[in-house]
Amino acid sequence: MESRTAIRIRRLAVPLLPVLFSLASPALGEGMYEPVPLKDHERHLLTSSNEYEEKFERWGLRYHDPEVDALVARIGRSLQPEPTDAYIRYRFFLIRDPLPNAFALPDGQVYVHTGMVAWLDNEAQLAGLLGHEINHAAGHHGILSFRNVRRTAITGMILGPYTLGLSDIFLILALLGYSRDLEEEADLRALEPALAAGYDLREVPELFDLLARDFEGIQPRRSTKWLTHPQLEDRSRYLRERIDGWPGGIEFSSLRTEAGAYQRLTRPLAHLTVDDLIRSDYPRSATVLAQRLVDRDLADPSGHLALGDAFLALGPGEAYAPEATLTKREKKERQRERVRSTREEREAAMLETEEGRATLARHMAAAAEAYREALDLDGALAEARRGLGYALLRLGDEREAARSLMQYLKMRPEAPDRAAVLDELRRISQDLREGQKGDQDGKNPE
Amino acid sequence: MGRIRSDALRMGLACGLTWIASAAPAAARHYATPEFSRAESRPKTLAVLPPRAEFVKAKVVMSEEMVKECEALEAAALDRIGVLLQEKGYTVRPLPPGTVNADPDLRELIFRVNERYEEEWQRFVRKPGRIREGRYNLGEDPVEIADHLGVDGILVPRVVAVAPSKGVKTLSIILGGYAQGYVRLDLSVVSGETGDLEAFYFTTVTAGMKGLTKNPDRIMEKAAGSALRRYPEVNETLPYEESTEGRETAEEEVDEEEVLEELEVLLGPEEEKENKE
Repeated sequence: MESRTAIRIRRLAVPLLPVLFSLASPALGEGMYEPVPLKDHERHLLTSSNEYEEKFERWGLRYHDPEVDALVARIGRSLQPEPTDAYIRYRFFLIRDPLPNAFALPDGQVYVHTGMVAWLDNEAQLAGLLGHEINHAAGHHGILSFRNVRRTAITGMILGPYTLGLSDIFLILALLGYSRDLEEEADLRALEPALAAGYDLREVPELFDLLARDFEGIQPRRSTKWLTHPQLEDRSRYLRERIDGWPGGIEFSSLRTEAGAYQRLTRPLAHLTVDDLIRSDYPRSATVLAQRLVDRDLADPSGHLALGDAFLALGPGEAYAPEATLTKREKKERQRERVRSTREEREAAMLETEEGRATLARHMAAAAEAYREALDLDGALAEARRGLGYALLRLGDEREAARSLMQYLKMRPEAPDRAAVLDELRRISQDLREGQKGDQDGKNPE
Repeated sequence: MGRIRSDALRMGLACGLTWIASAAPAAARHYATPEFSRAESRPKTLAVLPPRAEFVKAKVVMSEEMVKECEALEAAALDRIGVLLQEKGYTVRPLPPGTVNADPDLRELIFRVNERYEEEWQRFVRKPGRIREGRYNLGEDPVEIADHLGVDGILVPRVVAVAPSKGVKTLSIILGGYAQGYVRLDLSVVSGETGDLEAFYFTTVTAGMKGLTKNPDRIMEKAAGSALRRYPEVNETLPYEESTEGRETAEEEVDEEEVLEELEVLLGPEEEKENKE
């Protein structure tokens, strides 16, 4: 899945990506971990990189949670090397985006998506991720890749073709990947600092197992030749091999994962990510993440609320099933369908089939159960009351739906969606009135 | 890389360069629902969301994004859009980033609208004609923003500025064209009642690097003026063919208390069930 941030950059770069991939050498070689002086034309590009911090803030993309910010910064600082150049200053930020991703700019800015933090299990996995990104900056991968692409482009120009411009090369490289060699280098070099910081390295390959799961069925597997990143399965494999063959062996009993503290601290962010996934039309991912929240703390009503919301959003769509496999063609078709049709059109198409209607009923029943669980734990949870109302409505139980929605409005007189809820209640009222009238006329015997 | 692919790439690159660097200014265009044209669903009070600008200096070898300069374009766009709509009689509430970031609820709502907008943009920019059918909807968040701010609708501005370098201009002359810098301004009007995309106005105007960096106000005045030239006055109705089927017409205003009271009666007392839940 592509993050929103990547989509924004791709708008300008999409027609130009084949140029980048075809002109850039796939086998760049090692990064440089000693000082790399900048050339004149590179200084301005680095200045632009610096300005992204302010731009992301201005656009409201930065996510601020003092505790999670502190967590990410603490882990990052425990892994970062001494900067080799004055233009590198490591700092760590969260970007509000529900899809799992992270990127680093050549000046040491490291951005982690909220979606990534939500999906990770523990600090050790986050350490593996941050170590990888730090190595992109420490190894000057951005600058080296830029020089390589530029050199190839100039060479190409001399030989004949004219190259196209690319919108902010550093950001594109950071988001869409350097060469496979540099990505692999960043993966492997992340291990030693993580171990030195006391983290259990066995968690790092787990990160890629997690990322390899395609909940929405829209990530067709591409030939390795065309990938900038190694395949996720390969990354798990070579990391495990490196860990298993560690010189002198590793004493795992003394290493930590810090799962409990991590999950506690990041739970609100995970809730937010469920909401964001729903809003971004990734309900299958939302359902899986919400189920994890419930499984980790059955006594937390907000976990059940999130699960209810996810099932409600899923509607007649299929839930994620690990055993189900889609072909590459099917995944590509799903991707295209998401752009061709609106959400409402896709749902309407599914509801034309009996299977779709049965799936809807199943998911609405699951949503209602989750909302009721939430209300059993916290009767004052107004959002669960609203969710239950909508789930019952879709199950055809208008009376109980109306009761729930009316209770919601009583609990939240200033609800921002008051008008929408009243609209539904007005429709239900009309239906009930017509139903009663039909009964009185003897046309609709019960 | 084989010869065939290499030749195709050269052709593609040459075409692409010509395209990106030689974009001629296009006439302003717009698409709107019939209800918008007839002033039935056209918001009279509008909140203008903080514009988002992308500014690229197109070079022969590598382009660069002018990150800092985007801020000036965004501020200029917000100002000019607000002024022009006010001149047409609308009540406008421009939302600069500082105002938004100071209100956590508003910041959250605008984040959500922008995310949903990006998703819908991919669809409606491919088939803008279907805006007339009321096909595109941005969900509940525009309604919540409108409620939060006390407006009828919201306007979402997007700016893309491309300025070719001297090298690109030289090359394009060699290719037989002339590379022109340009600014594209997209303005999407979203109903604060339904979240429907009611209208989409956009334009492309020529702009050089000097103008974009030294005089963004003048450039955005030109772009906003072009995009909004055909935007109707506040009470103006425009001739339009009958609306297509499937679009719900605006409901009459109903007394809220009346709805709730009627439902209480229809549902009857069920104390036991309420206690159970």
